[in-house]
This record gives sequence, C-alpha cells and structure tokens, in this order.
Amino acid sequence: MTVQVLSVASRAFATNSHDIFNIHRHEPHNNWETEFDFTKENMAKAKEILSRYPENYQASAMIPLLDLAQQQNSGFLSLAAMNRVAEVLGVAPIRVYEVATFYTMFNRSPMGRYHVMVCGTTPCMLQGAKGIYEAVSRHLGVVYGQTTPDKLFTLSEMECMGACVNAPMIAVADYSGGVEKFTYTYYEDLTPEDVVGILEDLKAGKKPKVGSQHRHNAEPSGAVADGKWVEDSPGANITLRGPPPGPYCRSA
Amino acid sequence: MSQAAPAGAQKADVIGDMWCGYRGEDWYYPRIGGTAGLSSKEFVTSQREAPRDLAGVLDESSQTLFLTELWRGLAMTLKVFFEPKVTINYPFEKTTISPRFRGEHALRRYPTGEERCIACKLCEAICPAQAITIETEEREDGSRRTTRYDIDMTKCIYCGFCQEACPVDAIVEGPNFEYTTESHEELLYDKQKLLANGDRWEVEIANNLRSESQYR
Amino acid sequence: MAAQAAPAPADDLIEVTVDGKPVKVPKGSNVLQACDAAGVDVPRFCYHQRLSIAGNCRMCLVEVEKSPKPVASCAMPAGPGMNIKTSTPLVKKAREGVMEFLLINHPLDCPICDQGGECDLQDQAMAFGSDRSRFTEVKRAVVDKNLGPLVKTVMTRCIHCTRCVRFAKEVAGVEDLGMTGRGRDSEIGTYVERMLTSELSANVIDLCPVGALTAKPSAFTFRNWELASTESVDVSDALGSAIRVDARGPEVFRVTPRLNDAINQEWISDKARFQVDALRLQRLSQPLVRGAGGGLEPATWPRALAAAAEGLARARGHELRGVAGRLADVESVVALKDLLNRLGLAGVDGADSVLLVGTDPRAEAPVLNARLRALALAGVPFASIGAPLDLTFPLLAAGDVVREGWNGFAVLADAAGTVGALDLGFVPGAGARGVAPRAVYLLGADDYEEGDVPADAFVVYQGHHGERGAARADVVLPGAAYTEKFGTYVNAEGRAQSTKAAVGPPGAARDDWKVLRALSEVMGAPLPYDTLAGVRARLAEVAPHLARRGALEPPLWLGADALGVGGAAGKPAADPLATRVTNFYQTDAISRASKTMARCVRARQNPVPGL
Repeated sequence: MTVQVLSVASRAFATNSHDIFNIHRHEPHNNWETEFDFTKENMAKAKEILSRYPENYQASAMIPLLDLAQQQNSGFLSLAAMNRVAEVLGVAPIRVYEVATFYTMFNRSPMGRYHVMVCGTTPCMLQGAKGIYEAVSRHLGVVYGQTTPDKLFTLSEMECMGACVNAPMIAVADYSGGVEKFTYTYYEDLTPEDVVGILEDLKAGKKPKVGSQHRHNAEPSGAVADGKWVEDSPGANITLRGPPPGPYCRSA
Repeated sequence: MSQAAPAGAQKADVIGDMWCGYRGEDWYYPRIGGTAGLSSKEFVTSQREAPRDLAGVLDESSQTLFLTELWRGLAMTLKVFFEPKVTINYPFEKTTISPRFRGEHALRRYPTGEERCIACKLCEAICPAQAITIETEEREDGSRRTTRYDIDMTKCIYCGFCQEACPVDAIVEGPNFEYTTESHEELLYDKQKLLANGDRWEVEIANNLRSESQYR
Repeated sequence: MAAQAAPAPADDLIEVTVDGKPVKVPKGSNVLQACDAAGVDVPRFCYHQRLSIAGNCRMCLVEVEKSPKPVASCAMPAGPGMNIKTSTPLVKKAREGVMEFLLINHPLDCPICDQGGECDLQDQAMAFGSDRSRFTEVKRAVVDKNLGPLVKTVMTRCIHCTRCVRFAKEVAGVEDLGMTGRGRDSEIGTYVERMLTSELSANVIDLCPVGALTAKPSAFTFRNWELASTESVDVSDALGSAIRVDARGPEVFRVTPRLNDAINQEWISDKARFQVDALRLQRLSQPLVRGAGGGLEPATWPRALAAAAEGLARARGHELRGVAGRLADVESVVALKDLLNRLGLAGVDGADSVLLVGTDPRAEAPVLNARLRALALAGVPFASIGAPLDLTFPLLAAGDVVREGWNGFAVLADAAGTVGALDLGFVPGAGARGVAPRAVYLLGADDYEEGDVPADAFVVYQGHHGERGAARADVVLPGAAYTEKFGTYVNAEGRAQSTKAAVGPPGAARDDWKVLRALSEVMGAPLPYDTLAGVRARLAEVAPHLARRGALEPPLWLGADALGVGGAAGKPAADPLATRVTNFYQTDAISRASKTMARCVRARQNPVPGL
C-alpha cells in the first residue's frame, strides 16, 4: 500500500483528523441497534462525577461523562454511548451531540488500541515534527486520520500539548484496558529512531520510557536538532543548536 | 456645428462664418455644408427683410425673374446625381451591426446543452414593459427551472434590461431583427421559440458576448 | 435562557438617549429594544423578540458612550442615562466588517434561492454592508440535511444565527436541532437524520434570516415581489391564527403568519401553513346534479337550484335536516338557519364536532344551556373529570372547577366553525330527535355520522371540496373556501374574526351565503338580505358579539341555568374520553385534499430512518 506522506494538506476540516463529519453516518458497528451502557464500576464513577456538580447544573458533567464513556467503549463514542450519557444527565441527545462534535478529543469513529497523536504546532514544528511524522507514517504505513489494518494504532495530528521545551513529542492514549487501565502518556524529546522504537515497544506489549527520552524533565541539558539528540556542552545553556529550519515551502 | 452667439451680438449677417443668423428672436442654427454662396438672409425666407435700396430691389427682382434659386437647386441635384451614393441596397446589401445591437431575444444554453435559465425572475421584475411572464417549478432532478417563459415581443421595448439583469447570461438580445410575422400571435414568443432562437443564433451571440463582456 | 420577560408596567420606565433623541423604555429592555422604540433601525440576525438572546451574529453592534468597545445591543440591558449612538464611523465599520465575515462563506445563490427578495442578509448587506468583496479563497460547503417534507434545507447558506435551534427548544418544545462542530465547519442539524417532530416545525422557515431553511412544498414557484398579500384568518383549527395569504393572480401560493399577540403571536401550525395547496385540488367549481345514470353531471345554476329546491321540498317539518361542516362561516350558517326556519323547522342539527375537555359545571355557576344539553341528547359525548355529578345528560365523570367568579369550564372546540355555529344556536330543536330525515342539507359537512344521513334521504351538498359529502349528494352546489370569501369565524376563546378574500372562487362557485340566498329565492322563502352588510346585520341581531370582531367574548352558549332542566339521567358511556383528532394533518376537507399533508402523514410513519 503506497503511503502518501504529504497528504496532510488535503484534510480541509478543522475537526480532528479522522472524524471529518459533523453528522452521524450509520455504520454496521454504530447505528440505532448498537447498545451501550456503563459497567457497574463505571456507573459508580459516573455517579461520583455527577455529585461534584450542583443539583441544577448536572449537565456540567457532560464532558467528564463523555470521556468516561469513550474510555469504556474502546476509544470512541458511538451513538448509543452519547444517547446513554444524555439519559444519565437528563438532557436531550442533541445537546450531547453538540458537545461531542465540538471537542476534537472526542472520537466518533472507531479507534485503534493506541491513539498516537503527533504534535504539529510551531515549537514542535521547528524542532522537527515533520520528521517524526514521516518516520511514524512510514513505519505504520498510514497517514494522519487512518488506523493501521491490525487495528493497533490510529495516527492523528494534535495541537500543542504543552510540552514545547521537550519538542518534538507525541502523546499516546491507550484504550486497550477500558477505564481502569486507561493511560495518556507523553513521549518527548523524540528523534525519528526514538519514535519508531516506542511504537515497536507498544506493539510488542512492552512499556516504553515515558516522558523525555533523553533527559529527566525539561532541564537544559540538550535538545533535538536535525533528528538527533545533541547534548549540551557543559556550561552551555542555549537550546537552539543551529539555524532554525525554514518553512516546508522553502525547504528543498 | 453650431456655436453659441457671442455676447452682445446684434442682427449680424455674418457670411462665411461658422455660426450664422443670430436673429432678433434668439434663433441660431447650424450651417450644414459649406458657407459659400448662401447668405443668411436668404436661408430663412420667413425672416426675409424687404430691401431698402435700389441695388437690393434690383437683386431681388432679377432673382425672381431669372428663377435663380431654381437653377441653383437643379444644379445641386445634378451634381449629386453623379456622385457615388451611400445608400445601401437593402435587403440585398446589409451593413455591419454592432455587437451590442439589441434584436430578437434568445434563451441560451451551456455548452453541455443544459439551459442556462435558472428561473430567478430578475428579468421579469426589471422589464419596464412587463413583457416577460415566467412560471417556475422544481424539475425532476431537483434543479430550479421555468415551466413557462413568455416574452410578448409586441410589448417589449428592446431596452436590453433583461439581458443586463440576467446573472447567467441566459436571456440575451441577439443580433436578429428580421423576424416579421403576419399574425400577432406569432410574436408572442414562448419558451420553446426562445430556446430555438438560442440554438439557431448561439454562435453569433456567443461571439458578441465574448467581445462585449469586457465592458459589461 | 427563557424567552424575554414581558415589559414592566408603565411607571417603571427608564430614559436613554438614542442618536441624540431621548426615549423612555421599560426597565429590563435591552439597548436594541431602546433603539427600536426610538425608531432607529439596528440590523440583526440572531436576535428575535420571542426567543432567548444569543448574541452570536454581532450585527447589532452599536456604540455606547463610555464603553471601550461597541456593544451587542441585543444583549446589553439598557441603563438609565445611557447614550447610544448608531451612526458613528465605528458602528459603520463594525457593521461592514460583520457583513464581510458573514459573506465570506455564504454561497452566491441569490438567483436560485427562494429567500431572494425577502432575505435579511440581502437587505442588510445592501443597507449596511460594503460594496465590494476582498475574499479570494475557497468557500466551505455543508451537506444538506433532511428535516422532513416541509422544510427544505440548503445548509451552505446557513449563517449560524441559531434562531431555529432556540425556537425548537423554547417555543416548539422539541429539542431536535443543534449546532454540531465548531467554527466555520459548524453545522445546524439533527446530527442523526430525523424529521422535525413538532407541528410548529415550519415556523423556522420564517425565522431563518437567509435561505438555509425554506418551504419545500412551494420551492422555486414564486418570488415574493409578485405576490399580493391579504390579511386573513386561518381555519385549519379552532384557534383562528392570524395569517397573511399571498396570491398571484387567481392562485394562492403560500400562507405566512401575521403578528397577533393575543392568539398566535407569530407562529402558525404546519397544517395552517401548507394545506393551501389543496385549494386547487378536488375543487367543486360547477353545480352538479345526480343524473339518471346515477352519476353527478354538471348543471347550470338555475337547474341545480331548482333540483335542490324540489328535493328539499319533499321533506316536511323535522324531516328536513341541516348539517354545518367544520369550516362553515357564520354568515352561511345564519343563512342556512334562517332558510330552514322559514321552511317550517324549529331547529337544526349542529355538526357533531364539540369536544368537551374534562371539566365540570356546577348548578349555580355558568352552566351549559339547553342547547348544549340537546346536543348531548343527540349523541355528542360529554365528559368531565372529578367527582360524579348528576347532570341531565350523560357524562363520563364529574368535577368541581366552576365556581363563583371563576369559570374553569372550558370547551376546546377543534373546528373553526363550531363555536360560531353554537353561538348562532345551530343545534337540534326539541322535536328533532327520533325523526328520520328525508332531506339533508350539508353545509360543507364531510364528517357527519353515517346515521345522520339515511340512504334514502335527498342530500344537497354545498361546499368547496369534492369529498364524502359531495359524493353522497344528489345536488352539489359549489361554494367558496376560506381564502375566497369574507367569512367570520369564532375561535375557541370566543373571538370573532373575519377572513378576507385573497382570490375569487373557481369557476362557477359562489360565496356560500349567496348560494343560500339564491336557493331561498327559488324555494319561495326569500331571505331578507341581499348584501354582505345585510347578512352581518342579521348576525348582529342573532348574536351581537359576532359584529364586534376581534374582541374576546364569553361564550354565548354557556348560558345560565341550562342544566336545571329535569329529566332522566343518562348512564355514563363506556368508552374512555379521547380526542377526535387522531391525525393532526388531515382533519377537514382542505387538509385531506392536500398533497403536502399526505406527505407529512407518510413521513410521520417513519420519522427516524433506520430506527
């Protein structure tokens, strides 16, 4: 299968990479017959969430409840899940649909086990997010918005996740274990080799190193430059290693 | 051509000047042709003043006796007789028509064959003579089309407002002006007739539009 | 947020200055209402008087002194002493800017858009927008939604004012619509394809300021500037909503609501709006007489009237029965009543169309008069809720809601002509029971019981649609529908209102009261009026409130002491009380003949595809 690495620009919607419709389309796995209900444990969690809000503002619990439902339902909100949340909150279903389509972290189509989100905002871009994306894309054989055929990884571009000092980075949401084992981890200070290694580890069921791959936190001990980790020479405290790369349109 | 009389001019009979005959009643008129020969006094016989001196009287009498004006007129006719004529021998000879000429109406189509008219009714609304009658309906394929598009060519004043108003260049006034009929009914054009016109005249209409669209 | 509160009493006014002009507005008004009160035109898209405030279009921005930014006048409450300026360069720039943004993604659809000519966006762009565009990128497009057979959607045109969303939630009470997505990719819709379930759903067509939501039955058929409007009253139900009938030539193209705070505010039901396509279907346009072969044949008026006169004359006294239909206006009902009275009757049968919504009259409070009792004896079911009460006619139950000074007893009529007919006393006379009719005059009545019209009776049908009544009739006299005559109807609360003729009746059809007047002439018992004024004078004689149009009147027929009449108490009926309106979309001759209503019925059988 040929991979079009540079087809990012063809995605015209501002929603997240793979839910490109703001309307529901009936699919065999997601239609009126699909069923969803919170498990007993998750319902208890839901009740706890509801208790945080005043009696007449129970609808404020919509976002946490949708998150809970998404984690239980292997990473995506089916129509049934949204309807159930509406029932629990006592609001009309359309109000839940509005919230679920507004936020890009709510997925409305099936995801892989791991949702790999590559940050593509400016600081990461400057530090080589394009190279990370190309490495991931080549390794998995998918582009932004697609899920691998073995249903392990879904690749998305994400906006800034606040790890700019440790750019470039990816986040991985793990939907394989339901609500109890849900994790949302950052892997930062990545070189293309690092990120491929992380994906290999995830595929093998191992746990890759969380956080910065080359330093403790965000201390100025080095930076990623040109796809390589460059240690700071002792005493140096700048992170820019060379001239910042230009925009894609001007690169060779 | 004519120029305004200079301020303070009296009853001047300026022979050989561009402007002529500022008579007491403020009339002035353009001199057509040359200025030689004809005096302003002679030009308008109603303004003729009776001669006061013998020379004038003799002038006038000899002109009356020898039919001077008559011979001058006939000479003019004879002169023109031998000149090349500018008259066109219509209908065997025809002049060029401007691409902006507004003639018989036509409803145009797109190159694919789809009729252009989308039944927006702007032409019907703008027509000063209310010559256009339109009824519309949704076609089977869901598009907006007319079921009736009549132009009463006897009400139409050929102003071209409809063609200016049309947003898709559907209704146009073509270059044809030779469509006389022998009955009134034939001049009440319906959609079928207008579309047929369009098919017949499309090449020339398209050419005209191509050149004129820069100015519209 | 609920709809805005009604304005405070007059002594609670605050003074603001709008463009230098001082104006007093009730406390609690917003700045936009203050500008409206001052007569200044402030453009707006999302603000609507009857809906909650959204403040998302930003078109109503005005400058308020001492405010660092222009304020959204719809959302800012007016404070005393506020100085509001609406024509400063800042405001002009704001309006042009907002309009420029709105037009960025708006398609160039004006020639094919039904809203052209009456489009808020067009009007405000001309008045307040810039004259040229600077947009050179690609516009976005949105997929169209299927909202049912009444509302056509072209969602690319939507400017996201959310009026439809707020209407569905606050006024119609069904939360069907919402705004999914965000930013330029937001879409108004139901998210999952489903039909709009409210009977008021088509009012979003009026609300939508652009051509995103338009009327589907009449799509592409007219432009608003070629229609002539007539103010009239709706007769699809007993509410008597104020409508505006738009017609071009002899044909009615659409009906839109008119403002009437007392009755319908600014809304009308889907049936009132879209049943008018039936006005050109199944119309009776010439008199018909049943010929020798058994079929109805066209006839001239003299022949038809003569045949009707001859057939009606065969009945003696109580053998002649008149039935008034659901859409009968009071002019024709009074003419029919007078005619039948002149032919020697003591009373006539009212249409069996009174629905009693469970309440209970007590003996000393305003109670039903004898006419209502007579109706009950004739077989109309009555019921009330609460403790049992011995009234003189059969009741299902009884209650206690009518007291001194407070009449909790309400009869909700479900047809436009019911209350008027009852007010005129169009009820069976004492001797009518038990006599089989030999001649029946159906005044637009298609909903009669089979037993009311025996198979051997001579039937004259006068109405405008050829339906059950005309099919049964021996003589058919074509009358006028409500858009074609000046007819008075009394609504469920007792308000008398008149329809006005927007077009003329088709073919040889005539006004109903005129037909009865002509018939009376032929039958040798001429009615004493020849003009509409004469009929209305007669109405004023019979029921004075019918001459006082528009005013709320207590029902005439809920007179006093009617229930004191002795007699055997009937036994309660066994069937539970239920509404007679099982099919909202097809309740009378016009709505049954309408293709749009038929489509609605079919769509209702499957409102959610796939479910």
